[in-house]
Amino acid sequence: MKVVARVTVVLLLLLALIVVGCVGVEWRMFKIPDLPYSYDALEPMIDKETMTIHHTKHHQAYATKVNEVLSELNLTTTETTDEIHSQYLLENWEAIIPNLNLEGNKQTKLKNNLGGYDNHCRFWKMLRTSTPNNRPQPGTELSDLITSRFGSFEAFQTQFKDAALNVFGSGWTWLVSNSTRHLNIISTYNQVSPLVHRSYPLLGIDLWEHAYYLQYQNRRAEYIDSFWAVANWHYAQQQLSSTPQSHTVDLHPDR
Amino acid sequence: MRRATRCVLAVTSRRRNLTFSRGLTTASSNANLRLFKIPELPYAYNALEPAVDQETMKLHHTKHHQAYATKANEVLKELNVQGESNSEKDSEYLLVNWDSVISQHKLSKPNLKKLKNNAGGFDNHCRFWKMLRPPRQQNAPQQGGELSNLINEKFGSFQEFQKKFSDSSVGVFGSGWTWLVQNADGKVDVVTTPNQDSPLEDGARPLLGLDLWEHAYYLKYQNKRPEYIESFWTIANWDYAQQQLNK
Repeated sequence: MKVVARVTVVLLLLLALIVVGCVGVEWRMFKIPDLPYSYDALEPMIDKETMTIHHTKHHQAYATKVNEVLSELNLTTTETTDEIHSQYLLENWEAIIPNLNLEGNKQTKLKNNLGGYDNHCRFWKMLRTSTPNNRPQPGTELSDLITSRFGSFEAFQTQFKDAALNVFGSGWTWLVSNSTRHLNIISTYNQVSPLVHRSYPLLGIDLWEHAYYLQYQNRRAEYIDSFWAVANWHYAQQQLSSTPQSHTVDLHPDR
Repeated sequence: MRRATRCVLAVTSRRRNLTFSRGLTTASSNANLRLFKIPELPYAYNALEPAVDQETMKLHHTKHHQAYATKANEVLKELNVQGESNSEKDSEYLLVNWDSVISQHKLSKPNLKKLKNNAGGFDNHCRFWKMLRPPRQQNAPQQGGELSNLINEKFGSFQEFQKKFSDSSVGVFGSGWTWLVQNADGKVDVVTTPNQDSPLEDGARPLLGLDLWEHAYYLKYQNKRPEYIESFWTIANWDYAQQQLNK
């Protein structure tokens, strides 16, 4: 009997360790990445002062506030400077958050600022120095999918611009892919990430006023028009290629 | 359900001298609606310097406030609304009686949203200009006055109220407003609303408000929102706030 009891205890301990190992999340402190170009590289479409403040103040503030919450939880051991970790957290938010014992307002603070951190990590890569006639390379998968989904590149641009003009308050408009390579234009409010809707961001435009006010003031339409010259279609294609694939039929492609 | 309840309460409220749902009748729902025209500012564009810069005041009034009026009117015209008004009486009527007004019209979902957002924006800004005044030192509600007493009753002291208001303002994520309001029970409180939502929708009377959309401060303050909030205390119009009590 004693042996049985001892073995049971050991097995139970092993089970506990496995369970903790499976549900355990590795937490890291967030550090903002450097821009892939200099602060004036997107001129005249996006001015140097905006890029500087947007990166060193706004993006930094999102990282700082996430870290404030994580510090209180005493969970972090290492640092991360890219969106791989934030993506994981955002995609698995519903499963992760109950284990954290965070009060409501801290949960909100964490979610808002995690979204802000993640969105901006991607945004810098979704932009590139200005190119005339900027569009996805013909013959690429992205180019073909845009044509088949929206009718033409110009039709896509019109729809994207309409969506971006329609965002009321702070938010983003995105070109996203779902796991069955179905493209969509969606808008998210504040710093909500498309990832929480299982949509993978290929390109996005930040429509918070801080993203354009110094140069464009209320003229959001002009800012959106200038975006086309600096959109990084190469990055968007890369993101499409690395979108997680689902082999199940998507019954709701327009969600 | 909550909105409908609010609407009924607004009509039957026994709050002192309440004329909250001014003009709610069973006659045509357009009887109390006119097209929106933005009012003039009660002061020059540079009058709030150095707290709020001239360029911001100009853009804020002639572009942003104007755009809310223009877009709300695009929808109102489809409802055959006639006449023009440059006060917030009409927008207040619409916001307070939203459910009953729109139930009498068949507006598409996008147009409903467009009207609500922009009527809110129009209304909020009509009040905002009056809630500000040229800067003065030691700017506070009159000591011993009704508003001062209500503030002390609710927050303990004027300084504690300021801290609550400032903290709420710092905490608004995205676009929105912080307000000092008077509730139906006569007491005051600090509330925030997202985007262009109005405290009127919750049965609260706005006494003072601070626009926290980035367009309200970005040219001068950029990301430094706390500095903008600090400057607000020098230009808050306590006379207006006092006048709005018990309305």
